[in-house]
Amino acid sequence: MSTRSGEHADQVGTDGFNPVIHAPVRLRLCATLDALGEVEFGRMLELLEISKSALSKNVATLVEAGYIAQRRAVRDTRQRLWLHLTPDGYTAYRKHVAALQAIVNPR
Amino acid sequence: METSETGPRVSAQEAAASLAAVHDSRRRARRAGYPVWFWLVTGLGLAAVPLYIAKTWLPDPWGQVIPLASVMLLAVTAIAIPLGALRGVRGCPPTSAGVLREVSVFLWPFVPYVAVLLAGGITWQNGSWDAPLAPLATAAAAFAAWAGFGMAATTFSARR
Repeated sequence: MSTRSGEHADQVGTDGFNPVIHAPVRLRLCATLDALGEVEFGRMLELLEISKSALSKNVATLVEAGYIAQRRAVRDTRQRLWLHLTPDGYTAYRKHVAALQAIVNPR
Repeated sequence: METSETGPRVSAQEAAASLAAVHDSRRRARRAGYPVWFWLVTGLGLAAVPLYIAKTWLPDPWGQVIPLASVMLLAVTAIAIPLGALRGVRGCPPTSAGVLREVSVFLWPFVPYVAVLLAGGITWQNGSWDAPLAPLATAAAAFAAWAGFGMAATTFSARR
């Protein structure tokens, strides 16, 4: 996982700005996971109000970057996909938000 | 994808819009995460508090109220965790900035609820508590305050 995230390291600025996370849907996805912890895929669809294909595509990008991990577990007697931020994902998301704050409020 | 830079990649306006989206997502996730039945079930439990107080009121009322309120707060929190798994969320403690603000989202429904309990207590102090319907009225008002506020907040957040 750290190897994958390493592939994206050259895209991240020294200020922490992360173009992988910055895409609107991915930023909202990370913010939601940061707030709630682990969220089931179907529930995430409702929270973000986007299509299944759009969510799948953005989740795949973040998984590829090593920022999100997926886990299969039972909910309502059926196997569901659960999403959560990885430690790398937490760090990258926080640094990205800090970079955005620095842009808005430069010192 | 862009290459590594040290300068800002986006304008201040775009960054502000992104931050607003982050804050909105977090607030929305916190509130919209609770379904209607969560507010109804916990509201029923909390509505039992004035009935319990009326039933077991002792000369030292605060000695009863404070532990009871603590137990109820823990019970609501404990209920929220397993119910969270059923609604597709496995909550964990807030993990980044704005912890107090986000905890306050969970605590806000307690404000009208506690206000109703205090109003019931003042009624009792004035001697009206002896009326047999007073505890029931307080319980109904407490349920309405808790569930009503929670569902209104959920609905408002979901429609934003």
